[in-house]
This record gives sequence, structure tokens and C-alpha cells, in this order.
Amino acid sequence: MKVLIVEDTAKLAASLRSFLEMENNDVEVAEELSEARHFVSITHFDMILLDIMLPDGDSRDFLRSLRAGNVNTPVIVMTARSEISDRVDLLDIGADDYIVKPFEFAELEARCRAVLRRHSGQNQLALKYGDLTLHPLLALLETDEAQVPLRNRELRLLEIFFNSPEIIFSKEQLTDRLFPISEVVTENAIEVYVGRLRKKLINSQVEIETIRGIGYRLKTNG
Amino acid sequence: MVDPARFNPGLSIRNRLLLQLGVVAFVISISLFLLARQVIVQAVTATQDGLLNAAVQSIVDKITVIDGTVSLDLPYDTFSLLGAVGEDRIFYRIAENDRFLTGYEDFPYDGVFGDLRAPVFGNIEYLGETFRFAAIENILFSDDKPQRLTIIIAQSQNFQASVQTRISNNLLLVTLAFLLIAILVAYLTANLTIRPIDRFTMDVKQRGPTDLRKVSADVPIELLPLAQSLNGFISRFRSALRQTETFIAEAAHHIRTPLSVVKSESELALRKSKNPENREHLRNIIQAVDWTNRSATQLLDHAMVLYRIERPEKAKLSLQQTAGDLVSQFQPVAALRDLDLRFSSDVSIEEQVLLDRTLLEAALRNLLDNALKYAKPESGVNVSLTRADKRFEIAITNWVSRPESLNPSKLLKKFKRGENTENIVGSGLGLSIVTEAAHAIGAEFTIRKIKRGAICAVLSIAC
Repeated sequence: MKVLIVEDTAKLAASLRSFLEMENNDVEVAEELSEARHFVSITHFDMILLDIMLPDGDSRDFLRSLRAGNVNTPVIVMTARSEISDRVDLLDIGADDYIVKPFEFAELEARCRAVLRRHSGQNQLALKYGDLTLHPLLALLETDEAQVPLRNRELRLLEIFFNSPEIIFSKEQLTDRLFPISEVVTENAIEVYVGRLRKKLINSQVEIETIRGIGYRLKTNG
Repeated sequence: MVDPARFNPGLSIRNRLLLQLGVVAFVISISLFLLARQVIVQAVTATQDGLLNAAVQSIVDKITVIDGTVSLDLPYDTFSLLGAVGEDRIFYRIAENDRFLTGYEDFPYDGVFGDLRAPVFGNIEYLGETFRFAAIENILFSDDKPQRLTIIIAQSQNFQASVQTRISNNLLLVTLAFLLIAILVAYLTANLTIRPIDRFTMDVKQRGPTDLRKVSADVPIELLPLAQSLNGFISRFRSALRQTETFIAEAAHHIRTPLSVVKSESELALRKSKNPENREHLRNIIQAVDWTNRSATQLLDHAMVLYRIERPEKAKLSLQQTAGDLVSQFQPVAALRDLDLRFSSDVSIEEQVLLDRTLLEAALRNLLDNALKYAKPESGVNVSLTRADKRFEIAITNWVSRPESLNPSKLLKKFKRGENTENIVGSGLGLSIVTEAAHAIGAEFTIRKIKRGAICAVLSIAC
């Protein structure tokens, strides 16, 4: 996914860039609206993360001009104000969602997913591995025989595996990405979710393998 | 609203004025009554004196001296006339050179006597009664010898007293009528005097809570300093409120932006770090950031609610839409905790209420935030909007751990948290914000435990 971050706080922009790149996204950063306009004019983005107040103007004008120019790229506004009425105003001028700083990457990810789900409509993104198809935006796991609905954390865990099959993930890595960091989780929490997924993968050629003392990985039986 | 109990109101200006004018009217009435009564007494006495004078004259007219002998033909018709009026009693004594001639010899008068042009009049006690008398002396010449004739005639005062009483009673009625009219006029005067103050008061009192325009009512010159002071205060208050609003927005920006840098940097570091000790430190940093952010957010929310209580901005809004939007906003947060956040409504989007959107949102946002934060993982949070009688009810239900340890009434207190909050970041301000915001929009806020470990928070808003 190609993402444009429009944020004047350089350190925050750099952190967001690092996070999104770790998630295999292609990221550009604009610290001013003029830069953002330039990026939008030369290439297509799948998602724009937009700060409200920038040194050279108000991002709401930028958003209006995008929508007026029929640029339908999903936009999530990042702001320090938390009033829902602000959110309503932003949605009215064409934002797709609104996230209040400071936020967890997981929440940003969840909002991106929700926005993309609304935008994609019937053309939902699908991830394939072995005989399985994962529809992240529909929270569905499709086997040859059935479609299995997934709870949010099951989906996110499976998505991590699908994006990097055969790669071993430690329990800590999975915990960081699955649970809010402020939430205290028990050591066996990941085991619980892995156990649930394994039940849903029965009769499939794909399994989650435990690498003792190291972690887990997704692999095909064959 | 100003607490009237904080003032120590003395007598109102209207009552004070009314009392003063009333007292003046009373004093004037009494004085007039006494004065008029005195005039009446004098008039009645003068009348009686005139009659007595006429009687004395008629006696004198009937005295003749023939051959040195004083001869008197008493004017009985005059006595009858004097006695007939009011059944008064008549006494007289006529003496010649201090020798009693006729009448009542024991009539006790030994004072001075006037002459025919100026008789002496006076009051005298006789037989236990007060009499009015006229006394004269007349010198007659008999054979060139002067004869001193003294005549005294007295009349009881029955008629005069009855006339005085009757006229005094009438006068009293007139005085009372005058007093009543004077009090009425005093009341009208007091009202007229106080009317500019009333107009000024109403102009201030009838304003809505958001109306911070300057007072422009016509005020008398005496009230001008008060009106100018009030306008000065309104102006300062408006400016302070504007500064508060700006401060809250600025504070939110200046607190949250650096926090978001710390949080995202720490989160990145956590993802990259493999050292358990460092990871623990980073987790602690992130939790501290969350704690700081939550406290700052709730303090700012609290400040905003307090600000809005002073200056609500009422507008018609659809509860269905507002609650629905809010639930949508929280969906990703619920998803992160694997919570099923559901919204149901039997109220149409067209049904609207008039209230301050920010206050309502602050209440609902804090309720939802709490419900999601304390809900058991993988449970549900239900938000329902219903209409019962003449009220809308927004109920937020969640299932919590150790519900038996919760005391709903304690949760509403500032900085108080439940017993089941271990490892959950919070300031204990959320529900008190809800309480204050609900109070400000005229809503009722209750929390109750329901079956199977569920807690239901209800915001009840008048239609």
C-alpha cells in the first residue's frame, strides 16, 4: 500500500514512516501542504494520513481541494482535538476517519483497515497462502470447503502470518502487534489465539508451527 | 447562577420607599385630622359663645332702671332656645353691685367680667359638668348713681360635644380615606420609581445563559455606574471564556503532540527490541504516556465541560446520529480489544433535541471509553437509544470483571475508581465528567448493576 503522511512534527512523521514501512507499505512524508500537493499531483496514493495544522496552512483546505478535484484517496485526519463535532466537520469536508493523537499503531492500523474496507467495496483485497484465502477487510478465512469468520485478534494474527509466511515470529513480537501496549496480557495469551486459529485451520494444507523456545510460523503441510 | 443566600438582602428599595412615603402620609393625615378637629372645636365654641353673647345681650336689653330700681324681665324664650338645642342645661346669675338679684346664687364664678362689646367667655365646672359661660358687667345710671350689674349665663356642652363628635367622626373617615389614597399613591410612586431598576434587572435576568451582550437598557443616571460596571464585567468574562476555549485547544495540541512522538518512538523501539529488560522499560514508558494522555484528556474534557456549562451552545441535533457517529468512532478501539460494540436505536434520525452537542459528546465519549476500557475481553458493549414517555434514554451496557466489587454511587465521585481497575490506566475523572455534563444538559445519569455481571449506564434526556 502506498501511503502519504502529511505531518509537520518531523519525529512523529519519521516514526509513522518507520512503522508503516515495517508493515510493508511504501511511504512518502510531506511536512508542508505544498509538498503534499506536489506528491498528490505526481502519483497515486492508497491512503493519506493528514495532520490538521501545518506551517503553510490549514489541511482542511487541502482536503476540500482534493475532493473538489475528484481525488478519492482515503484520508485519515490526525489531530490533537478530540471532539466528535470536529470529527463530524472533517467527515463533512471529505475525510474518511479521524484519529486523536497520541494513538497506538494498532489503532491506526485498525482505522486504516476499516477505511479501506469501506472504500474497496466488492473489490476487497485478498491474501492467498496454500489452499487458504484470507479476506482481511471482510474478516473471513476461505478454505476450499467453507468460509470461516474470524474475530478481530484472530484476523490480525493470521494477517501477520499471511504477510510473512514461513517467517518465525516470537511471542513478544506477536504480543506487541496484537494487544494494546497499555493492556497487561498474560504470557499464554498468544497461545490461546494460536490454539483457536489451529482449530480453524483443520482440514487445510496450512498450519501454524510452534518452534520451541523461539516462536511460531505459518507453513504448508505439504 | 448566583446563590441568593449569599446576599443579605435588606428591605427592598420599593418597600423602603413605600414605608417612608406611608409614614409621611400617616403623619400628614394625623396632623390634618388634629388641625381640622381643632378648627372645628374653635368654630363650635365660637358659635356657642355667639349664642351666649346673644343671650346676655337679650338679658341686658330687658333690664330697666326706673326710679332707682332695677327691673328685669327675663328673656325665657332665649333660655328656651339655648336649652332646647341638644337638651342643654342653662344657668344664670344676675347681681347688682354684688347683690344677688336672680338666677342661681351658688353658681361659682368670681372671675372677671367683660363688657357688652367684649364679654368674658370661659369654661367652668359646676355640678360635675363643664359649662361654657359668658360674663359681663353693665353699668347703669340711676339718678346719676352708677349701678354695677353683673350677668353670667352658662350653658352645658351636650350639643357642642355631639356636633364635635359627629364632625370629628366624619373627619376621621375623610382622614382615613386620605391616608388610603396617599398609601396608594405612595405605592404607585414607589413602583414608578423602581420601574427603571426592574427594567434593568429584567434585561439582565431574561438573557439566555449564552447571552454575553452588553446591557443596553435605558437606565436612570443613578444606575449608570452599575450598568457600566456590569458591562465591564461581562466584557471581561467573555474575554476570559474566549481565552479558556483557546487555551483548551492549544493545551490539547501542545500536550498531545509531544506525547504522540514519545509514544510512537517507544512503540517502534519496542517492536525492534529483543532484550526483555528493555522491552519492559519501553512498555512502562508507553503505559506512562497513556496514563498522562488519559489524565490530560480528561482534565481538558473537564475544563471544556466546565467552560460549556457557563456558555452552552444549544442546537438541534439527532441523538440517533450523534450516538451512532460516536459508536462508529469507537469501533476500531473496540476491535483492538476484540469487543463487539453494537448500537441499536428505536428513535428515528429525524427526531431532534435541543442541547449542547459538545456536552452531550463529552458525556457519551467518556461513558463509551469507560465501557470499552473495563469490559471483559471478547465480550460485548451495547449502546441503545430508546424513547420512553417523554424522555430519550441512551443506555450503555458492558460486562465487567468482578462486578460484585463495584459500588455505582462511589464511581461517580471525582478521582474515585472501582475496585476492579488493576492494570487499567485511568484517572477516575471520567464518570464525574459524565455527571457534570449530564447535569449541564438537563439529563439524568444513573449507573446500575444488571444481571450476569453487566453494568448499565443510562443517560436520560428530556424530549
